[in-house]
Amino acid sequence: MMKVFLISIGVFISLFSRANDDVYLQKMQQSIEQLNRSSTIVHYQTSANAFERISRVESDKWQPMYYTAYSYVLMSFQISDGDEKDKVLDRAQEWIDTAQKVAPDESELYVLQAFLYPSRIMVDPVGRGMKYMGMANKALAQAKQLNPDNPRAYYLEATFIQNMPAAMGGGIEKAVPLYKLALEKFQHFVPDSVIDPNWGKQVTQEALRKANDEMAME
Amino acid sequence: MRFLVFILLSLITSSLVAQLSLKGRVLDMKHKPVIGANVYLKGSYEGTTSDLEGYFELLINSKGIQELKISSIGFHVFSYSFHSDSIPDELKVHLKEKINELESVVITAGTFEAGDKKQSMVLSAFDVASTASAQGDIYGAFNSVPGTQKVGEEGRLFVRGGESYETKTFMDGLLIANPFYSQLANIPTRGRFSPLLFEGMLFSTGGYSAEYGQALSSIIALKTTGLQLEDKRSLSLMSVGAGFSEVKTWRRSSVSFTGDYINSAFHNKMFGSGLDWQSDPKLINSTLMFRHKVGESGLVKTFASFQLNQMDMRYHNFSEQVEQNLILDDRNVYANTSFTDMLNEKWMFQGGIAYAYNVDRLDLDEMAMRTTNNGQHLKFKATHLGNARFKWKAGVEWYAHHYNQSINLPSEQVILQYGNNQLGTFVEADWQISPKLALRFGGRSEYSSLIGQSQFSPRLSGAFKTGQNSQVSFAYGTFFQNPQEDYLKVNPNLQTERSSHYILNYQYKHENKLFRVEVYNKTYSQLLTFDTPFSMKPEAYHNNGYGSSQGLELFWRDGDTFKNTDYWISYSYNDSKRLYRDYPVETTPAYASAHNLSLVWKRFVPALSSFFCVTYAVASPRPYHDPNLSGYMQSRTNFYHDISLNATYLTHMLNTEAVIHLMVNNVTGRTNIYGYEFSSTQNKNGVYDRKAIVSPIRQQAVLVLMLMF
Repeated sequence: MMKVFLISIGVFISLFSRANDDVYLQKMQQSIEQLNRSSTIVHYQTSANAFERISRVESDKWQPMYYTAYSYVLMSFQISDGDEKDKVLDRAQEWIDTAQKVAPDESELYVLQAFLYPSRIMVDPVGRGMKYMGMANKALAQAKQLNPDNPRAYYLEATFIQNMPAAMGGGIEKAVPLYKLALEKFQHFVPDSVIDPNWGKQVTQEALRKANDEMAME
Repeated sequence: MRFLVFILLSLITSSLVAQLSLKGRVLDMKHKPVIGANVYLKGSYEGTTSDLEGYFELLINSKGIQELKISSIGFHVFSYSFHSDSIPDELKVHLKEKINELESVVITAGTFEAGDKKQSMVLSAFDVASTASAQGDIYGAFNSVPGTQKVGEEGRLFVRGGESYETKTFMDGLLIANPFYSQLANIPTRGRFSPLLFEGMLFSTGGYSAEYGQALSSIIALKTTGLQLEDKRSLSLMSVGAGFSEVKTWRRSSVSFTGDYINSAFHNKMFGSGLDWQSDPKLINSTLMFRHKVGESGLVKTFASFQLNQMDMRYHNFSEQVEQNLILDDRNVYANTSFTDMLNEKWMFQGGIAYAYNVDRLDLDEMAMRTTNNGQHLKFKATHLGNARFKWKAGVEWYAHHYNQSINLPSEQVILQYGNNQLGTFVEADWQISPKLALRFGGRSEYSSLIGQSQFSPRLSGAFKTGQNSQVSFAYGTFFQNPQEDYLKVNPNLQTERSSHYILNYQYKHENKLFRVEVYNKTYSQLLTFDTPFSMKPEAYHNNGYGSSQGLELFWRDGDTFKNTDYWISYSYNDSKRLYRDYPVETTPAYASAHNLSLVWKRFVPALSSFFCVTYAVASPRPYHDPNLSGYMQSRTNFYHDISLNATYLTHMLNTEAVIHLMVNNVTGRTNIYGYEFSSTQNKNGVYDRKAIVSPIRQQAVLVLMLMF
């Protein structure tokens, strides 16, 4: 009898925690959808807040922290004041750092890190450009090393190359093959779960289309 | 089993309970709404975000005691516990602002900071490296901000009516004993270290921290770059030589090396030289940096450098009316190691040791003079971070200096030497009374074995925020400095020279526009005096000098108004008088010009992937003493004018990144006269002949091609 009782408790607890997991996944999915619909500072802040709440409860999972930081990075691109931008990026950086303690070998976190630096550069392009571009390239190299098939690493690399002056080895022609490579990686990419990072395919297609148009114009 | 059913049932029923909600508003201390604050219950996913007016409505799904949390960037987290049975009606929450480096008031009196850490800095490290008139020299760049006087024949920094020796340079907190290349009279020198070695530079024109001593006027604190992240290699070809640099990185360490060889042979042929070189000046400069990360937060930095500087010329000694052979051979080794770590969350520890060795050989015809300076600096500093409002630091340092000069004449040999052990301790506290008001106070005490006396100097500064973008700050301090080596070597029983500073500063900063006005008063006492120059009699030297210096400075920088353009204007007014050296009366010293104006204009042209900088500097006449006239320092030079420019073109060459850099100084080719040398004897008409002191190279252009691999 006692045994049955214990088993029942075991089953119940696992059912209960399954249920909790479901709540977690559901909440994450909801918040990701909300983030995907965001476009203003207030929207991004709302998303960041939602992810931050989950991150505080689920302190052993990197995904909510990733999305918190990702929301803040996206938000920072909408802010024009340099000091404000830096403050938001400081917060994003804190969450990347925390996530990296949880999952030190996660390629996506390095991609996100590389995605953050260009926003830092915008505060003071001349003064910060060299330093942060170097750091961004280093982060991308690490992301690729950890997962050579991470399509977002290739997409970001393509955008970096496109925005670099032609005189320094950048430019649209150089970027196109990289966009193509990124797109190829996106075709084969399957996220580990529904809540793992899965952005970038559309923007890559869009960027490639625009780049091809621009080159055709010339 | 029944127990389980009970639990299950109670779980279901609890979710059937009617939803409660907590309404409220988030405001800051100034009653302004906080937008986007995260409002949630501790341990729950559920929460909401405050709206554009700061209002929120939080749904409450569970019963019992709850802990409400409200967080927002830049504010302290707010916590509030309540029971679900008694939810407050309308909760008004005032969030307390975090004292944040970016927003809180910063003491700016007497300080110019360069770096990329904070946006609030006045100049970036790049600005220092790219200012045309600076020609890649740190001191040259700081000559374009207020507080400095242009002294073309020296190349050193003269701050607020003070002599060049009154400015000291520190690297990672440690003294650089010989920051400039050794110099021959009236040939301008430059700093030994490239601005590219540093990520942060602080130039204080007065009233600086108790951490620094032995400088009457000013300090420059340089912070070397941290752990390098990328392997890099570069090769530079210059119209004056060649350079190479390499960076190698590992996970926790990095090593960087730079080596330069400079030879002005080509330049002397191209642009001519006012000097009669026997062989063209040569210079070798090499640096080695090692960085290693220790644990979570520790960093060990090691720096080593070697420089060799050689000049060989026929010297037209105007005052004695003779021609002489003059050779300078300057060899310098400077090395330091510093360590920084957090002992725990509260205590930060910094320590370091520096070694400086310099030997100058100066041959003038038959006379051979060899001067050796040997210095060791040891320093420890502990900082207690306490909380964001109150921090304090304390430190102790020891500086040992040995000086030896041997003068070999055909008939005799003279040896002059002395040693000094200097012990310094300092304590300083930073008290952020509110985000609007900050105070820094401390003191420094020093004991010198040579002077045989201990001295105390208090330091005090503070800042008050007068508006969203403006603030007022002040600084006060007293300063001591041992007399220069040239005097101590003859008379080691001299006293310290003294100064005190009072500074008041107003700053307005909005986005990339900055305006600053500063007034100061400086008094000097116990300045060194002597009866006749170069006297070998100890009793010829005294501490009977004194002086004062006051002025007004304006700075305006604007990086917003014109696209891709950044410019700054500096104006300094200085009124200084002193009695020192062999001055018979208190008068304005020869290096001090009353008005200095500098304009720096920079523009990036993306279409050309090029960067341009033009600088214009003007200085009002300087005094000089004309022995043909009665009175002392009664004459004035003409105005100084200089237009310099540089252009940097970023390109791709040989399959790699390349930078082409062109610097041209004194574009108009003007002959600036810094003063006059007079013959020591009268000519047959009873007149002392004079010769103008001018730059040996009136105008020059330097072309650099740098390839990065």
